[in-house]
Amino acid sequence: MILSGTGVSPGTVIGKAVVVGASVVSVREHELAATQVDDEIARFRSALSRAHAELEELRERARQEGNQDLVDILEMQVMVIEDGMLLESVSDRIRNERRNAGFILKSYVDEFCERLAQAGNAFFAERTSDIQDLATRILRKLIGGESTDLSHLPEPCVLIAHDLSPSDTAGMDRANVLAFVTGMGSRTSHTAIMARALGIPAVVGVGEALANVSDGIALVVDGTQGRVVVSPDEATLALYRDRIREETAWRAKLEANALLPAETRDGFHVSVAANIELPEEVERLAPAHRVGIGLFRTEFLFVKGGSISDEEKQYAAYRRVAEAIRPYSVIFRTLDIGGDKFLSHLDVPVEINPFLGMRAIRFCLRREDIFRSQLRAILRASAHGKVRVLFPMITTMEELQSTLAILEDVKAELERQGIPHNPDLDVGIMIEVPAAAMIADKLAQHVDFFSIGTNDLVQYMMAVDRSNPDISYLYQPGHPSVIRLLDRVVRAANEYGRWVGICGEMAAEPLFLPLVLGLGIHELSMSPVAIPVIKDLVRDINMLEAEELVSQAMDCGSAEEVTKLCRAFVGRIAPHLLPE
Amino acid sequence: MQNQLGLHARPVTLIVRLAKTFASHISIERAGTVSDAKSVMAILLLAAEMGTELTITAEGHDAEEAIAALEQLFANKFDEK
Repeated sequence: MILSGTGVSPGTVIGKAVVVGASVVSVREHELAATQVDDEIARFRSALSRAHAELEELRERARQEGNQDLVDILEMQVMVIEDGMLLESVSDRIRNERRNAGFILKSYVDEFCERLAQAGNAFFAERTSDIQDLATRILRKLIGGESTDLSHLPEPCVLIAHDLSPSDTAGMDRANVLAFVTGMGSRTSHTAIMARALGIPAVVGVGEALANVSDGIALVVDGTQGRVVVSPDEATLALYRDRIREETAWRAKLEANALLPAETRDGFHVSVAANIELPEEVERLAPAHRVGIGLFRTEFLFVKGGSISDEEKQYAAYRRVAEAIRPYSVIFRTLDIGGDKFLSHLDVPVEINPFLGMRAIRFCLRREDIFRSQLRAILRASAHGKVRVLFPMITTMEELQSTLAILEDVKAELERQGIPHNPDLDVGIMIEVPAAAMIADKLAQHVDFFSIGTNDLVQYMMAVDRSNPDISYLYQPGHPSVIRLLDRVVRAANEYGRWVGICGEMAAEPLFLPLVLGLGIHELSMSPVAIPVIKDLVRDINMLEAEELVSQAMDCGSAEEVTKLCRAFVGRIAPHLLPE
Repeated sequence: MQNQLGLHARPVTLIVRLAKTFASHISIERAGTVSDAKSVMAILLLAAEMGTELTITAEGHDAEEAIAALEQLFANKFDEK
């Protein structure tokens, strides 16, 4: 069977499925010695309390997402554990029947559900699935498998999930994840970004068909074409093994050339930098991927920490990054929460329209305590390497001025306390709101650089929620409006001698690379794995032709026309990089 | 039982939460099945849907308040339509 979705991170792998949050757990029955009974009950008790803690966390997340139905169900499951009825009945039966907790729990819950099914109508069948779901969660704790803890995967596998959130992937055992396949998602959802950062294939938006994949089943994941082959036959496997060999050879060639500078055929140089989320990623960068860090997303430190990271913890992390990346520089982007990134422990109110709401700098200006401690940590780290700071979601001049005033105040405070820092560190702002892009010439006078976040800029420009599959076709980075806006921003920056980077998905998209170069962007920041591919392509491009492409694109009326021009351009120099 | 959806997740949790605020032993009965009002699983077993007749009994020093409070909760249809 072949499932199709959107291929969001290229490459092909063959591997076994691990279904995150699978609904079936098999339990074997075994007899206990009299001496084992107390331990078994203690084990059950501990499984209950871990399941309880997990459910409370999920309930809080659901509450923040405003999913009331889910809150109700999770609340009920929490209360079932708190009842004591489950603990007492199962403990009694473990003692009397001398069987393992998993087996007793499963038979107890099965009997319960059967009674419920007999007593009630179809509606109550749904309640039995809530109770079965709870039992599965507890069973996973008992048999060691955890439903959301991905930190210990026994062997390399393909992760299958409805969707993956930043907190799911934060502690994930990355070394054993071969690929992601999710039911939800699009090119710019968290799963996609994460997959590209890790350099593993991913297919998202598979939809309901995902139910056909069960734990342990063999899969071929083709992240280039967006295909997942379930239980492939020998002939299919042979075909894909060949494909994997070709891909490996091609990658090896790219890696070998990766240290060459990114210079166009006619000698124009562009900086290539890496987008990074976690300090340990910096230390693990392959030599071919070691360049400056154009975007260090600090919010993942907060998610992983599980609590608001204090200044010392942040300082240690930032310093580690600054030291590890020397002699290159690192740009730390201050906390960008809200939108699709929530921190469950922060008191962020639920919003109907989170992407237009209290996010990023808006949140930081409201919560100055959090903002100041982050700025202190970044400034302190600036004494240990080449550090720049970047403010997300700046929309108005007033926001920029307030932000800069706080930064100056924090510097003065450090100065008074005699704490080492670089008072002249470069300051940049994200250009991701069209309002800021339109007054880029005014904003440029107060900062050292711009970083264009194309994911959000395109989303705001086109008024499209990129994670909604029904309208995601409107997410068009190649739309002439976007090209015109980017052109405007680059011109404004040039007028004041500021440099402009792109840190969105567009920077790593081969199709749009000629456009981006032709616009005169100075720095491209992307997932480390994309660097060799993009550098290689830069070397095949002629800048004069790229500039000509931009003037044609600015004159187009639709994204389709622009895309056609870009396809023709890239097709001439690197046809293998174009998706079919 | 007057709310349309019967005893689904939310009403059950509301009943249990309310019952637990009283010291009395409270039970809810439906046609011979008697359930502890402080246990979610027990109440689910009543499989009460709209129109089901339920009897609440309570024993203890705050029994009357407990019954009054629970009656009120049922009468308000658990704040649903």
